Amino acid sequence: MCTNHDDQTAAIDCKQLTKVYKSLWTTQSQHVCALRDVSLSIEAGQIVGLIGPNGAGKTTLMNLIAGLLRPTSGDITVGGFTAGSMKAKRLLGYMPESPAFLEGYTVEAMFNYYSSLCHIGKDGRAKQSQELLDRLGLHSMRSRQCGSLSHGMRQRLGLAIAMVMQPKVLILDEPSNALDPIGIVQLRELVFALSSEGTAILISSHRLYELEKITSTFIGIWNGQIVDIGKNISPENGQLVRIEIKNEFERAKQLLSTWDVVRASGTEVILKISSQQDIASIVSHLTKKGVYIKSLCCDDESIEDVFLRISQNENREKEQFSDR
Amino acid sequence: MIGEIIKETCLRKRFIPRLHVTYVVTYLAIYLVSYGMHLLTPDSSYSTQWGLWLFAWSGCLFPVLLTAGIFGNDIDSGRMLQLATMPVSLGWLYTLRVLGMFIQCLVHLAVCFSLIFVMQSLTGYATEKNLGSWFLASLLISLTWLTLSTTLSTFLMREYNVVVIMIGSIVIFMLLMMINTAAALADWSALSETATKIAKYGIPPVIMLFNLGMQKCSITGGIVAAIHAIGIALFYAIVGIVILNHMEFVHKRE
Repeated sequence: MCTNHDDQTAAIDCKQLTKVYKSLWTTQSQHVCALRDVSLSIEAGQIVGLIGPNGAGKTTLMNLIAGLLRPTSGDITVGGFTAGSMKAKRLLGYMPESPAFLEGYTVEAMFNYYSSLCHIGKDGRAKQSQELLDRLGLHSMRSRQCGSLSHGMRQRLGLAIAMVMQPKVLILDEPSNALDPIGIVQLRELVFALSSEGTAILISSHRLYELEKITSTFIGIWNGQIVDIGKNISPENGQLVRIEIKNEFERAKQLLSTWDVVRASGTEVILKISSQQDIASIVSHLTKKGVYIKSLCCDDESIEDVFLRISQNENREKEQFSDR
Repeated sequence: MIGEIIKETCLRKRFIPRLHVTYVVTYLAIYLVSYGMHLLTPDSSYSTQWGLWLFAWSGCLFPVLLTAGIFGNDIDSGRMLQLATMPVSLGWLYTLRVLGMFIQCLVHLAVCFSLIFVMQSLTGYATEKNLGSWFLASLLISLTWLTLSTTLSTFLMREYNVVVIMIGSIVIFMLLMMINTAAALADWSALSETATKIAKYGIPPVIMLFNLGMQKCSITGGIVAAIHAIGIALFYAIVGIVILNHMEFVHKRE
């Protein structure tokens, strides 16, 4: 599992990583602990989704791996080299949440600028810009100034720049933000292609359905700590049943409260069942009481369901802790 | 890579190419206006010290304007996040950016001094013998201002490096005046001397290089002034590189 630390040489390896944000102007009590004792290992060719609520520490973790931040304690290696070192940088491609560019530069000039920083010669640059800009749907935009690009186009250019060096480790922070459906498909295809070439990819996103189409391996971060998502979506947790109620939704909620209700919103109730026999008893229980079912379907638990369940548990734990 | 970074220092902001053109056009216009006034009132004792003029505007102000937000803009906009993950050391990036701006200063000074020299040769008005020493002094002072302002830009966001230098220069000048006045009144000559030495050696050595431009110093004095200017520029650059290498980059969220 990617969340467990592995001793073999990994594309990304974090050991007991802790990051505390301090500043000269804050007291010790005001210091923010963004990550606490995080250990993880990602292998070459693996695609890993990084999920967690806002402010959980996802971007901090990505910035630490990219060498933009230094850990308060713990070690990070990229391809066996210390994160932030020149050797690690040669293996790494990084796309920040909101890529920024020189407004007066054209798309092609900006791409060439970053290519030159990666020590790519003029011929290589021309070939690469043709290939990558085409692949990301930026070909017709190459002479457009970066200042006039839409948010989605900026994301595409940011992605192209992250891939300039044909990295062995690619870190994408919310890459699908503002991308149109075509862009999302292109991103997905690109990620699959890179993964098949052996690139390890770490993607953070709040678009969980999109993320689920790219990978089935997830790392969850809640309150700066790793949550084992693998355990949460394992089959022993049961199957989900989505029931759409036709009438008397509030009553239906009450009637179903004896089962494990995952979520109830709108006219939909999601339950967790342990066996198929439960379905028959749920249906008969509801219909006997005059509640009609519009639709019913069995589903594996989606990553969104897992996300919401973990969030509920975390909130509950927090409340219990504060009550004490 | 070197060419791209040097090019970037000129094209990163739309106002920089315009600044180059504006300076040359302004010098030409001022020269022609001044020459016109001289023709209208030939008896006046009015004269222009073009070397000093170029030293102040092109040697001191121009490099500071060139460095506006050179790193501050990158850090503030989040551009630094991608720059810092590229396989190029931040010290090398700093050096190449300063080199790029210094080349611009060199070209700018060469163009402006040539313009004034040609105009003086053509009109025979306000001719000045020591334009060469002013050129050298301007080049050296521009290097120190460039490195000082670039270093300030590593920890001051946006274009605040320019604001701090402008305000700082005025404040230091006024402080020196006050110290000198107080020293004269209360006989604190030691204080006055210390303050003058700090101003002379610690900050860009304007006084030393002014004397070099005016040819008020000996050849040895001139060499010392040049070495001092290069040394202090080197000191500013090292401070800037150390700061950059110890920085953590996080994009501020709205």
